[in-house]
Amino acid sequence: MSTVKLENVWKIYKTRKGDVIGVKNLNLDIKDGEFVALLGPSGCGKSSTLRMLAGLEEITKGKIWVGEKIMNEIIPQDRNIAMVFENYALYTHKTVFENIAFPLVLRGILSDEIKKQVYWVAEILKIVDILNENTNKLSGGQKQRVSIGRALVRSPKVLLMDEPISHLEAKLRTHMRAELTRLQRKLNRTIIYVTHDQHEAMTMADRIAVMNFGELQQYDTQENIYNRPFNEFVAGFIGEPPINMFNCNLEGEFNDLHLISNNFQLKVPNKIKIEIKKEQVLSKEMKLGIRPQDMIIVKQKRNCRNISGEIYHWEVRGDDGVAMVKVDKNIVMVKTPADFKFSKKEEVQIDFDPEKIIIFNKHTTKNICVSEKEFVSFAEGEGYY
Amino acid sequence: MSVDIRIENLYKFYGIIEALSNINLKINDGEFFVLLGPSGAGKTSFIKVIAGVEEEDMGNIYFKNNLINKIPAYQRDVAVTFESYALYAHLSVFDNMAFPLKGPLCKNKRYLPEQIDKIVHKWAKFLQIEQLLKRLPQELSGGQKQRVAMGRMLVREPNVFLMDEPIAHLDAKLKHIMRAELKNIQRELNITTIYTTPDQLEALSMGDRIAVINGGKILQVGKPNDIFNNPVNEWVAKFISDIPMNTISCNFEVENGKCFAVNPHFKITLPKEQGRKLLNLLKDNNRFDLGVRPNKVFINTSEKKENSIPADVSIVEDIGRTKIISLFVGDIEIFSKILSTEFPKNIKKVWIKFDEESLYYFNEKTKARYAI
Repeated sequence: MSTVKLENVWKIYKTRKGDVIGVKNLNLDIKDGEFVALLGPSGCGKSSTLRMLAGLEEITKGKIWVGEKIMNEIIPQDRNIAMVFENYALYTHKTVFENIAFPLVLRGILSDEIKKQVYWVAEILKIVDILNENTNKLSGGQKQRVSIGRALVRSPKVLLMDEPISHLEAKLRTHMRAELTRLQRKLNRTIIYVTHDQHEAMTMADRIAVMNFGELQQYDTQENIYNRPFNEFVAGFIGEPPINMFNCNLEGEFNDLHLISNNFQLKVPNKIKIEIKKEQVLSKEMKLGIRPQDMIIVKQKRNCRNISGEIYHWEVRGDDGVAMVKVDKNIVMVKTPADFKFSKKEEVQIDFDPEKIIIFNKHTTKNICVSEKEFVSFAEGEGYY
Repeated sequence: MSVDIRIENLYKFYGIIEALSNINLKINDGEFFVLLGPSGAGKTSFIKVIAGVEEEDMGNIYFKNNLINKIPAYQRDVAVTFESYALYAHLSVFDNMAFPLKGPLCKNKRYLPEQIDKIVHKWAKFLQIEQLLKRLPQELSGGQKQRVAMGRMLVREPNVFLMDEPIAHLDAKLKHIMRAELKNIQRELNITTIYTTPDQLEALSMGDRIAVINGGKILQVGKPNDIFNNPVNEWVAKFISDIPMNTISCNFEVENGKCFAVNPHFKITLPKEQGRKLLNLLKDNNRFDLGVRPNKVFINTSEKKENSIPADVSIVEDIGRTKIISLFVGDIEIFSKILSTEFPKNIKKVWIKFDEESLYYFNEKTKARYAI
């Protein structure tokens, strides 16, 4: 049993200038064997959370449970939680075998048993053939595997990973991502993974906790985070190129709702209309979010939802391209095929898929298709004892 | 005044480590030249040697046919920006930008305060940071800081811009905008620029030409399209795409006038013309590496087409509107990148087909590409 629960957890750092809130009233409920990513920009509190879990930092307020036990007063070495660091933290003067065996040696385990355990993890991680190598001769990917091996050999209840692959080159990262996911499936361990890279979080995690300024913004599956972001921050943080936002007003009767901006008009499609939560529509001022993947550039205006602008810049990047279109003073990004040709400052029209839009309340920045209840239950951590 | 740069047989050693090895390059006047490579490839060493911050061990560097090896850094008239901006934290934006003009050695000229004022304002206007001139660096966002660092380069009106991973640490949104901005500034001023990056997206989207560097050696120089479509070897082919190209070791076989790529796990027909050319190039050897990019690996849920290969779905990575799928054909891992809508959920067994127009062939030993 290795569920993890964070209940109203706070981390406040005392500084000379006063208190700085690192983590603000965080509630997370992680299932046994689940792979959860903590995602956010630097300074969002994700690493503080991880360090509190590991016991490297004190919990200012709240409770952390691992299984049935409260962790608050338990010292790090007794928590049975292992951690993998970005810089591997391997002992360079030791061989791979000695590095992996180290946590067991410290516990005074018999050498036969150590050998058995080390070979067990080495086989899973496919590093049996380098067990006698010195660690400084290894490639980045190999080093990371060794450090994961050292974490796994203790059979921890929970595995914590702090940006373990973010500094590897792209080529290696793709492979390591797939490898970590496979490893997780094989071992079925609870993994909490900290990253600032949306790509890593989206591809590996069962659920993602998006954080900003110490606060949890959304805790959900990859699909929901992308398609149903709770607020503007989540929408803007997830997606590459980033989502485009337009100021507009929501006008009309319920069965004939329109979004009206300076540049375009759009009848709200039925699919979205039925999802709009009344309590979220406090004012008419909205922000409309449209992802660059759901937009297309056309030469002729063919619809009143089309947005006219002029080409500011375009990039071709191998198989596809991104056009930046100047609409008034803002830049709108649109995904294009690689062979798309424009001339600079060319006047163009942007069309988009009306069913893929996301509407946010301009003042609360919340998605108006997500009920207030979902936000609240989420903030208060419904489903706790 | 912009210049062209010629580099001949350039070497740089740190102890016994060869940081730059026999580099020969010609960078055109006004060109946006990108140096692309992983960390430790020699990119920063190259920038330092060109700037004159470090001395080369062998070789010649010419600016406009003038040998500059022995010319000290401050007389070379090159400006460098770094990833960390390196702004003076206690000076205002104005003073940061004016700093190079106040030094005694800027173009052996002394500037009067009015002149400095005029120059700084001119470039601040150009960069649209006039309203920030009184602020301190700590009061600026990442993108603004980068623009101030640009401004400090521009006031000297240098011959050459050297930019060492200038936008690597910005967040995704800002990165897009800054890429466009840097490129537009460079185009407008038409100043020869050398730009280093480990990010293939940046290189492909910004460079007029790209030089791919690894282990201190230049592997390939060419236009972005050229490098993407005609990589010289497997390493470049894998490095230049966001999801690395799949490469599979195969045997070449001919039966009844048809050419096949054979592997313990599959046997597929090669397009006739390509097979014939490959036959000539391989000569006696019959081993080669078959390469195909993930977005050219098509997936079918049933065995329909000729040449399709059964595969097991291992992992489905979902990123927004696309999926990256890790497939196993026997013990070979193949990645496929497709639109989300094209892939049904919870399917374990599929048939894959490589796009015949997009196959690459590599020498099995040297990993060099066969131009077919």
